[in-house]
Amino acid sequence: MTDHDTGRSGRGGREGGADNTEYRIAHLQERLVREEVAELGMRIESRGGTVVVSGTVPTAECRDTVVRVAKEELGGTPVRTDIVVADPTAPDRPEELA
Amino acid sequence: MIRVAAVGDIHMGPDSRGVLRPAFETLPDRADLLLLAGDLTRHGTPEEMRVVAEEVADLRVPVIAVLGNHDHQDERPEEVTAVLRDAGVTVLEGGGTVVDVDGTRVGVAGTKGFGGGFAGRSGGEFGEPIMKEFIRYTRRRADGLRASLEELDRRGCAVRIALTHFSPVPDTLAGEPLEIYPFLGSYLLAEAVDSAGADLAVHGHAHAGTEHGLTSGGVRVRNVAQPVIRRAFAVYHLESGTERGTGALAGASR
Repeated sequence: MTDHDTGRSGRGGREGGADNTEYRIAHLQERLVREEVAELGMRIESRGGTVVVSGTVPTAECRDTVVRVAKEELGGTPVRTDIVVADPTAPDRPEELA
Repeated sequence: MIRVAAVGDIHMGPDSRGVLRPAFETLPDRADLLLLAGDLTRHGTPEEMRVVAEEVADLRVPVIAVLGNHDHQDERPEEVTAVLRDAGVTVLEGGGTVVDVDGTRVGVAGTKGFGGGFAGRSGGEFGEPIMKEFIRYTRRRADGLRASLEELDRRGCAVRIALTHFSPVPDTLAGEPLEIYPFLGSYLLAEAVDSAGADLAVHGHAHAGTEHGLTSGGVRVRNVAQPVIRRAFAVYHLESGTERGTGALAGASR
């Protein structure tokens, strides 16, 4: 595999650090785990020129934190979020396991 | 009929105090027991676990839990376990408990479990000490699960349930990236369930997975991570071995 195949920038380290979306996504993932939300369940993917952050979190406060951290960490890269807050209601029916 | 309520991965913290309580208070009308499949907190602190304890205290149904990896993050598993036990929760790690439901003995065997991957695509006890320990750690938890299920059989349980945090099967991981499957569960847990026999296996951990799965021995598996079931809990109705007339499922691959 070559740099041309992968489309990665940063041959020889020229643009390989802060501007590399792949590494920035990895750093965001690490930061979400490390910081106050301890969130391992987010899916973070590069799509076109944007980064999509999706998943389910326990509270609206957690969602706000994930969105804030994502924008901080990916500053300059457009971020789209699709984060659902877990539903705390009781189920409307059981599953019968006969 | 046995009514089993279950949920995992509720990831509670101070900002979620009281969120699940209204749904949990409906449990006596819906279920005979509540299983908590780990990752009850975010960082495994006693403060967070006290929020969980308040949610499940005095529910009038037995509450049985295993811890998850998040509940170990603060490296105080004994303390957070004690917080749950003080609230009346039975916390299992390599042990079992029996609940009497209208004269039917229902056994629950529990362990957090661990990763390693699934048959044909798993890590092995080979090479560096840390790699060997990774798999041995999982194997010890699987061995504890098997021994507990066998003990529940000897104690005359008509229904036996395996409760883990990590997944015993890949089926319920569908939706997760394939690359992370080895961190989501281990076939050693399924092998333990199939060799000892069980009527149901319940786990959490895989937020992007799916609810329904089956071990290769035919035991039904349910991923009850809250992001998967999209409710405060799921309820499963199980027939006891006597009601089934054979008990064949429980011993299908013993």
